[in-house]
Amino acid sequence: MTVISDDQLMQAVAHGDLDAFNKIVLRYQHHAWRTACRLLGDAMEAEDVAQETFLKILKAAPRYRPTASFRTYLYTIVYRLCLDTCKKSRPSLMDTIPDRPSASPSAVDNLVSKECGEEIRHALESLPLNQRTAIILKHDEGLSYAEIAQVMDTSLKSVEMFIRRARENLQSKLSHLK
Amino acid sequence: MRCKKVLSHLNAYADHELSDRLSREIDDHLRDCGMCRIQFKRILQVGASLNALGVLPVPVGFAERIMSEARSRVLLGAEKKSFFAWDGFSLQWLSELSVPVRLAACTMVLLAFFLGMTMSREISLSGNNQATASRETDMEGFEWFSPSPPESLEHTYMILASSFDVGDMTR
Repeated sequence: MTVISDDQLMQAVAHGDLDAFNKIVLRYQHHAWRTACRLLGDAMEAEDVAQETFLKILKAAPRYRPTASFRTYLYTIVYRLCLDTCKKSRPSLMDTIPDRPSASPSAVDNLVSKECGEEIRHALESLPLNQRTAIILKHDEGLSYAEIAQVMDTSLKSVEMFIRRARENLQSKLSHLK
Repeated sequence: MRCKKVLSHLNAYADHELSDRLSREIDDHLRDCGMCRIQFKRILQVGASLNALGVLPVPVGFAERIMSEARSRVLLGAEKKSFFAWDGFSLQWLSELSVPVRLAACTMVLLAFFLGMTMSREISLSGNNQATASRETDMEGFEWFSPSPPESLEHTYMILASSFDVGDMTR
């Protein structure tokens, strides 16, 4: 069974093929949703961002050129939408936030039942957005430093610094956990 | 390799971002240096903590909601396109051009506009001059009906007055 590449699917989407678009959605819905959820810490906002990501891909399909991998393209859109969401609704997420749980319960809270998991999640959410983005894209999504630099529109050195500082911050916040 | 250099590359080493040569050098260093090994373990522990967060399942019906919205937007786009198309001619091709080509096309349109404005101004000015000349030609023969016709006392006085210097009169 031959696997159709992302670029071939995008070419079909550019010609109005919604089945091809459905394949793109099914292939990458987990990635978009998971990344948005980790970056924003709120399931409802993450769903809005993930949905808007795919709709933007659909709209831009006629102009899509495979200069980079489709995966990088997708994460770039997710990141920029999360950036806009943080700036508009929760500017405090751009920098560190106080150590208190979120006001409204979310699906994310229900998933993490262990107390230490909750602490890890809060520690991750307390990171500045650039550090959080870099560590999530590296650890959860497996992107290379070069790909992360492309997504975040920054240099390799900056990505290394974000990841190093993210780990140092997480280490200091979670040092009491075994 | 010295500890300072190893520590500066330790995160990239943990993420398999280094060249084979540099990775081997760090491997050798970690074998012998306990302090750097502890630091490397701390990096791995952070990774293990993040693994403890678990996998986030996609909300139920997520893909279906996207496809439903996508179909409605495609239909809306098709309606708008048919409204603006004139006898099959559409401006869709303009959006498919690259940015430099679009900028060049806009620049050409603006240049043509300003050129047209300049030329039309010159034409209208030359037209005015011709109108003035034709008006002067039309007035030929009617100068006798002016308030100071030629060979009149008033006309002579005006010529004499214009030839006098006012400074001479004040001395």
